[in-house]
Amino acid sequence: MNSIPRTPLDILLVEDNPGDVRLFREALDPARATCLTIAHDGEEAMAILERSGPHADAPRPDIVVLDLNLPKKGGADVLAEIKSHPKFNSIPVVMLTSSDARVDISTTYTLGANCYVRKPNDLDEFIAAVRSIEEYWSSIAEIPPRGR
Amino acid sequence: MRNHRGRASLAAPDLRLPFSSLTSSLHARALEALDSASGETQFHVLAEAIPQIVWTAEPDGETDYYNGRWYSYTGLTLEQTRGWGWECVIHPDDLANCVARWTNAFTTGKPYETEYRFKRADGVYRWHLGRAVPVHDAAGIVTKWFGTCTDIEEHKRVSEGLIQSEARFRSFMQQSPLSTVLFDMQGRPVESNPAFERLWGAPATAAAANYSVLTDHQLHAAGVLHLVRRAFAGEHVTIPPIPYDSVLLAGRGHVTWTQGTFYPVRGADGEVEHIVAMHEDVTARVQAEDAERYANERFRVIIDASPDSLALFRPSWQAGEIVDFEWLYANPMAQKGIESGSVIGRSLLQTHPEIIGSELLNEYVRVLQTGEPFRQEYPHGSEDDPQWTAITALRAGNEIAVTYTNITPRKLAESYLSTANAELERRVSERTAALTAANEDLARSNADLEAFAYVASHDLQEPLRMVRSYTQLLKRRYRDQVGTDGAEFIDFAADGAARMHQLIEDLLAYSRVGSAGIQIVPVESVEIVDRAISNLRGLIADAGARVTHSQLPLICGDAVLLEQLIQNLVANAVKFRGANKPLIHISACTTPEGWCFSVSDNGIGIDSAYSERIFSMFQRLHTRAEYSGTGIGLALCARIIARHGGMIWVESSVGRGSTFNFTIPFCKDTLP
Repeated sequence: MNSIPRTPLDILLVEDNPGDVRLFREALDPARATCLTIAHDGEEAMAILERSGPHADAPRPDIVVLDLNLPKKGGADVLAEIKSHPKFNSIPVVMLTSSDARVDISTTYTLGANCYVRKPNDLDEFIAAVRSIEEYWSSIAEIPPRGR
Repeated sequence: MRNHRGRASLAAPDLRLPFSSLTSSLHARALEALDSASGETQFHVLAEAIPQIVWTAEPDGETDYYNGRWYSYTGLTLEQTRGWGWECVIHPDDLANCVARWTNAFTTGKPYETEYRFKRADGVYRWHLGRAVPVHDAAGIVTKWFGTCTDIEEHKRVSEGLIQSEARFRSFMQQSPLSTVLFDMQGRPVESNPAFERLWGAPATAAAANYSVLTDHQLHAAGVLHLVRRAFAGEHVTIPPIPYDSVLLAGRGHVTWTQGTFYPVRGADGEVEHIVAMHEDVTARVQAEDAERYANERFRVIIDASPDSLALFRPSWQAGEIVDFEWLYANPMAQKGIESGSVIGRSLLQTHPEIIGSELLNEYVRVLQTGEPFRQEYPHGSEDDPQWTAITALRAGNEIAVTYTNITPRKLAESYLSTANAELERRVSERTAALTAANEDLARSNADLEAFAYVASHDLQEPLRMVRSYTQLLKRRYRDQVGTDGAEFIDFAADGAARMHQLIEDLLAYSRVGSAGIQIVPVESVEIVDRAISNLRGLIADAGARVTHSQLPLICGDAVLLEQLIQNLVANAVKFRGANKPLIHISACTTPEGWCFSVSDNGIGIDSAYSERIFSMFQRLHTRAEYSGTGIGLALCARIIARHGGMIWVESSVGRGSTFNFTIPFCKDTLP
């Protein structure tokens, strides 16, 4: 792997399905000690980003992993909000969704998504996908410095 | 005596006229008298008894004796006329001829005869026949001339009249434009004129020797022979036009319509001596009459058979105004329903009192005065039994021709049609509304379907993915702890979840082909094929298959759907492989319907009994143990091709491989 480990990655996972949250967590490479914050819907995701209310101490994430089908505020809305927000628009957003609809793919990229990953149905593939995301954003890609 | 008489007989000319024979006998007797011994006295007695002028002359031509009739006729004396004194009473125009002949006679001794005009005592010239014969002695020497002068004035006048009459007749006949023929009483043609020749092609005398008009079979056949016979019996008859073939005369065999008259020519005694027949060629007239009759007949038949009422009216004037019309003609239809017989000659207002006070009469008058045709449709009849009549009036000279047409059926049809049209329009608008509603329903239903597809792709897949993922996780972490049975149960659960996943994926793909918009754009089919093969490279490699393709065309289609199509077909070809290494070939050719693609393999083949069924949903020919699959793949292919407007079919037999063919229509000029 990467010979020069960086500061562990801070991921905001926006996912309403606890099963997926657990799977995501299971899939992460324990060696990387990635820090995972969970938002269960779109509103919570925005609150966490803005550190409003109970999320005053929430860390600013290095990347956001965003599901599309979310209660209250949909993934596309969250994406649009992040990408149009002057403070958050530099945060990479990885779409992780079970949808393979063309319209979803093209819409999210248009809105500024940095990556679109379809949730693999196979467990091994899922794990591989999550680890790829983890590795890519922590070791391969450079990311903007965290602002406070 | 015998000699003299014989000589005298010889010398006497053959005179035509009846009184010539009388003079001949007088001459004979006078000569006898001269010849006799008692001679002169006896002669003179005889000469005085003769009613003609008698004279004698010396052989040298000097007249030496005249009888009393000479002196009483001429009023001259013996001295005045002795010798050549007679010359003064001969008409000057006849004198030279007369003198020349007389001189010739007494110098040659040949008898003398001439006609001349000869002045009576009152100065009137009358025609006379002068004759003289010589008297010879025993030696044959002329001793005396004995002559007579016979008044032939009356005869001459009659004769000249006859000659003139004959000439006039001849001229008339020759010049007459009418074919004229003269028959004798046996009916044989005696003479004919040039007009006859022109008409019949030959003179009447050219007819057969045994021809007689009285037995002419053509006249008999035409039923006019009795008229001809009446002419021969003395009547003047007219023969009506008959067809006559001149074949008997000229052999022309040409039929001419002829009309003629036959009239008898009577002699002096009133007996019919000849029959004159005159003919006229009336062929043209007869044909014209025939044609006119035929035309009239045709016209009448048409008019009489007309279902329309046709009538001709003449205006009835009163104080300088048209107050009524009189029926001049009405076809049977026009007279229908009118009581008391024919309308002809009756008043229009009388036969149709309903017109009184209506505008119609004024319209008729206007037509007559302006010549402008009039046409109007009149509704009449009751509400239950509506009737319409179209009336057309045209000016025809000083009359008007009017037609009455019953247009009730047409009007009813129009009314029905307009009702039907209204009904149709109502139904169409209803249907349109229904269709619009249906379309809206369909649009809604399509939207629902798309919503379903989305839900299925996300919400349905989500729990399934959980089942699968956690079954796998369970298996991975706890397999060793659940024992053999537990492991098997977990395997079944995982397998079922995997199959369900595939089924949902296929169904989604199928529903998207129908619901999503299709994007037909020009695309290189080779790229589609390459992508499909690339997608399947793992499968192909595992099976050891070899996939080739020939040159492939630029086509118009939805690249994503077509890629799915090719991928399905190639995957099928790999999947249903036989014992040999799979060989798959993709090719394309042109057909009238468009490009025809073929995907051929050397696989297990398909029983032709199933060659259509395989394109239906969930149709599987094999157990899951033999070949996995959801039974949706080919149905999806068929749907993709249907959306492109093409066809898909398979040519195959068991054990001999399969060829899947599909057509893609050629690019249209204008792309959507």
